[in-house]
Amino acid sequence: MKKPIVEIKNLNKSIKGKHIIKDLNLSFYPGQITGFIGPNGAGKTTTIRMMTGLMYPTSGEIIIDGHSMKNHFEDAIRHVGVIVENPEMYKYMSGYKNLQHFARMHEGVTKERIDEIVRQVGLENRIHEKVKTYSLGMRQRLGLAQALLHNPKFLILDEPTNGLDPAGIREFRFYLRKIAEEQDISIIISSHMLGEIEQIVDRIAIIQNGELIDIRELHQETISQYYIEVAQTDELQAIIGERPVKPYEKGFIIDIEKPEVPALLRALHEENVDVFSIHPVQQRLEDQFIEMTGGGAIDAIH
Amino acid sequence: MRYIKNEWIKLWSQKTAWMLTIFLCLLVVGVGAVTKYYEKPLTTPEDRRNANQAELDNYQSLVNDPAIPEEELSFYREEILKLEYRIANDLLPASEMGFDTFMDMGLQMSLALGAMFMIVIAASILSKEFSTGTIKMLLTRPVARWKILLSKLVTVFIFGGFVIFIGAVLTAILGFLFWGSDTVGSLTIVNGAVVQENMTDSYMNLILYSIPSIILNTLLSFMLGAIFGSSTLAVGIALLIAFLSNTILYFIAKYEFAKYLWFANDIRQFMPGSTPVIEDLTLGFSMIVCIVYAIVFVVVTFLHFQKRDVTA
Repeated sequence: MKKPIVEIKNLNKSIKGKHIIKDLNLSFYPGQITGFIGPNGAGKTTTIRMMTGLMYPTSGEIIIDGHSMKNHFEDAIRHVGVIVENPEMYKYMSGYKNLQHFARMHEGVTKERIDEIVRQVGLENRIHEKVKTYSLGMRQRLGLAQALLHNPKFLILDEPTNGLDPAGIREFRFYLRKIAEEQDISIIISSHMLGEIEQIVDRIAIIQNGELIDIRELHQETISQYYIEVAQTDELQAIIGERPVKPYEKGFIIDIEKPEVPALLRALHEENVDVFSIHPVQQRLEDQFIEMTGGGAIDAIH
Repeated sequence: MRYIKNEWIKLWSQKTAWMLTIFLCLLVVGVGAVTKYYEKPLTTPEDRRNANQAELDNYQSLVNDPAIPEEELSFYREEILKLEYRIANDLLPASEMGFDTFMDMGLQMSLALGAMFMIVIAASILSKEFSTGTIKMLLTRPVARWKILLSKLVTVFIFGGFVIFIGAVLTAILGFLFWGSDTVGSLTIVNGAVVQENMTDSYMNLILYSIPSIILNTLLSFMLGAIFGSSTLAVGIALLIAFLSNTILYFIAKYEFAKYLWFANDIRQFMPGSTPVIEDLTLGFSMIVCIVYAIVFVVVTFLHFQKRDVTA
């Protein structure tokens, strides 16, 4: 395992006597995209605000690239790129002037780098127009540009796909994957839109009531369930035998390992069973999430 | 420096700064043009001598009037001395507008409006970042919070200095175009002899004595803007205190604590020819009070901003 770029140690935060974050421990590694999910009010945004220096922890510490946020803020935040909720830019200035403004706050961001990032996010045609004329999608792209301007090692995205159209989301996802792999950037994405997140992230960290309740690597999970739809259900039952099976919509869901699938299909063929459809069932992140946080309570916990 | 440049660019990318500056320019031009339009021109030395002579004759007849009490006579005699000086030195009558009196007026106007504009900008320069949410883009940079705050404060002062400078230069240009070198002069009698005040000194005095209250009002507004996060409230309170300070003082001057308030210690009351509102104030005491308040305002602002959690 690589050395973590960010370490959160025993993080606690109380606001007005309410204990909002409880002993949070979490590390982030280069090249890895982590989804940070939890019901509303679980403490996602509070944690992110502490990682970006907008809020101060009551106790515990955050170490970024070996520097403590508390004691060496400027060194710690130097390699962090941030989009907190909507990227609020200065609407009365052009996109380019916004980028110049933020570039002046970092060391060594050249004019060439600004032009390069503008090209990468595809804003070169509109960059000299005022931000107030931009669509939400363009603002998101400008937000991404300002977050990546200084080549950060750690990228924090809070609800990044708000307001993007499906094509935009797909492009965004592709782009994040690319920079994570090519530039070895560690990315954390907080979101409640689980459907979008599960296709980008390598692992998820689930937070509920200020506590980390689960971290898991998504790609470790092998698919062991298949959905099958056939004309002759009785024959199917006979062939499957003892395997656990449950009816689902017009067909069945069978617990079966991938290497066994061809044998099953051959057997069905030999018995003249007509197969309409067979495909792997991926238990969706959303289902897992609801399972873990106690069923359907996405918005109910405050 | 780069952060001040950022603030300066943002300031001038918004309409407010332009509107305030243009407003001041229009006011200076307007006042100058109206005065010039309605005055009877006294362009030749003869005109000026006749005007002064007419006033002199008037005072002469008063002095010769046996019904005038003795204490008033000394005042008239001084006026006569001054008028004789005016005639001898080809000066305008005291009631007329000349280059120097217009300059004085324009400077006063620029200082008063500049002070007001600084209050407005000081209140909004930080709170606006909060209300638009841009503060989180600003504070997640490798720049300590106090540096960002300081760059904003410095920008407010540069803006104020710039606006006042523009007002003063415009006044000087207009004054020269309208009145050329015609001067009224500010005359005083010292030991029975007429002394003409050096105008450059008097302009400098006006500026120097005005600066402390401008700085204090700006710091107060900046502090309120940072604490409340609302420019309206900060501007309201700071302007109220700036404009009503004399009225408030009138009511509380009799209490001992009044002299420890910053607005009771406006340094302008120690300008030559003015008397302090609260009698036992001295220039030294007032300077110390002003400095103490300035430090308090700055420390409160910076501590509060450094410690606060940003939830915008």
